[in-house]
Amino acid sequence: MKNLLSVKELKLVYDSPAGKAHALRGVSFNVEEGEIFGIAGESGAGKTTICRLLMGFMGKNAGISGQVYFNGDDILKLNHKDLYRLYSRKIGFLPQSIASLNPLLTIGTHITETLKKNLKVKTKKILKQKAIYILDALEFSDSGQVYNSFPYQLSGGMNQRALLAIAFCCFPNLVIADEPFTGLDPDLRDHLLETVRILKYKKNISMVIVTHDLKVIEKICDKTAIIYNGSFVETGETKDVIKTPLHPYTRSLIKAMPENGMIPTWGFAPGALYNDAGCSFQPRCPMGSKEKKKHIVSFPVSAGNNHYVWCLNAKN
Amino acid sequence: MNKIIVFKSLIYKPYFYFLLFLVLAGINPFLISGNNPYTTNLSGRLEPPSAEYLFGTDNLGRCVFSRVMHGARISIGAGLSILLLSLLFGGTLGILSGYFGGWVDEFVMRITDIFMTVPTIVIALVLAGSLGPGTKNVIIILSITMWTGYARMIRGLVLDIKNRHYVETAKTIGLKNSYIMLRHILPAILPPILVMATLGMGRNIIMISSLSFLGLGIIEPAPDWGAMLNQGTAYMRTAPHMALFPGLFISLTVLSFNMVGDELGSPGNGSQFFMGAGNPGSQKGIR
Repeated sequence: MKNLLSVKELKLVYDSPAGKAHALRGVSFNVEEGEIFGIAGESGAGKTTICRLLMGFMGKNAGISGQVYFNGDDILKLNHKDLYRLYSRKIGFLPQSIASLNPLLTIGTHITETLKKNLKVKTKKILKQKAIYILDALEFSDSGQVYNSFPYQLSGGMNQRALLAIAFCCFPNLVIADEPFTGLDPDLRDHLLETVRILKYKKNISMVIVTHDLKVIEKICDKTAIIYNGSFVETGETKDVIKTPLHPYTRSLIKAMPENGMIPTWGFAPGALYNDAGCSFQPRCPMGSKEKKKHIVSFPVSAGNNHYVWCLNAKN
Repeated sequence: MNKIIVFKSLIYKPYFYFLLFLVLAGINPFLISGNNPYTTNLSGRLEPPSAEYLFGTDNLGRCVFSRVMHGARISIGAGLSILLLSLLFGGTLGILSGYFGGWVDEFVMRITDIFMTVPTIVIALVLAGSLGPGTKNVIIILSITMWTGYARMIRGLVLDIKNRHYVETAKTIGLKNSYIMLRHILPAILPPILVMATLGMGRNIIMISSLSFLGLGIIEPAPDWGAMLNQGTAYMRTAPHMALFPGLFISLTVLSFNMVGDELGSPGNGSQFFMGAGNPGSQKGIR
């Protein structure tokens, strides 16, 4: 399969009063056509930063380096106009919360304004037909009524589905989801994930899902990357990463899942200001390095089947 | 549905009816007063209020009541024109500078600062002195001087709204900036603008009357409240009604506009005019 999105050595460094802050420390991954790529990690690890960079939202700040190739174009080098042309037609964005719906506009307006941007035929009737079609596809029982409702008239789950409709209505090649379905109950979340999966298969849409919910990763993602303190610690097929985790951080994340006993890992991530050459998980690492030796892990260790881990102590 | 709520609370307010009356007088003053405001009658000058001349007559024997009624057209009409022009100009600049920020913001706000350092009335007087009196000139002059406050205020409102999640999402959809400003930002800031506009209306009427009082605004024989007040001051001892009634109408009109603005601005009213959607708990209104 063809590579749709390929990210190479993406870095973001910015100046803070306390010194240089490394929000991202060189992240590389590929997303193939029709593939769902999940990125999981704790708060402050740089998940949303990746999203914003992939959308080209950070502008052309001095601190950004690396390349984000989408269909052969480097998104970080595109100008404003070309970038806006890509949005919602080629790259869709699925935001986190229902605060992303304008309370003064109906769901229908939200969808039609997205369609209007990308369709050649812009008569009201056709726009409405298309909007109703996509709402039907998302299993709304009464699409006509939802079309005319304001966000406050719908429940949280319905609003989430409306957000899905907005992100998917033009059937983009790639959808970037920034912590989707956070704060929903598990049943509804699973239902929405199923909807996403069906949409994805029907239209061969690739996705990048950024989340801190390993359940989402487990249920829907083909490939997974675990991010810690601005750098990937483990990447690979989801089943490999979740079933046979190699990095101690991934293991601690899996141990912290509800069905595995919710065992926490002590300590906090060192933060963006951490600037040692070694592994940034070393201070919290349960696997020893009692000699306080700094491991230099600038390259991953392969564990076969595209499974990579950035740890020298990883047991095979 | 939300629009009705606003007027529902206004229905019980006497000042609202006073303004309606003035608007009616502005549309067709002959409905209310039978006398011609321009007809002079030198044998009946400075007469006190009577059944025929409700507010008495002035120094040329003209009916003060019909002049006050005809003055409503000038005061409200000119006030509204100034309001719309200054709101359009100041609002556009405010939205642009708030939305784009950076050097656009700096540039617009420094110009606003320059205008704001000089008191409004001083700029108005200088411009009126150079342009000369007349209704059209008054509208131009006051529009030029009154936009700064709106630009400032609207910029501040936009700064708040543009950081909302839904504006950012609109950008990720790839909508044009002009569309986002008109469709996503403007409706959200309309209620405070509405309140600002009603309060500004009172200020405009005072400014028109002040200029007319000083002889730089609307000139004779056009019946303007400020100009009538100016004439009346000379006859304060012999015929106080000449100054009293125009003065009363200026005060009452300004007061009414301010009260309407206040009412619209109070919680559960103006905020619901367009914003009801954002506030699920208060769909039926607080009162």
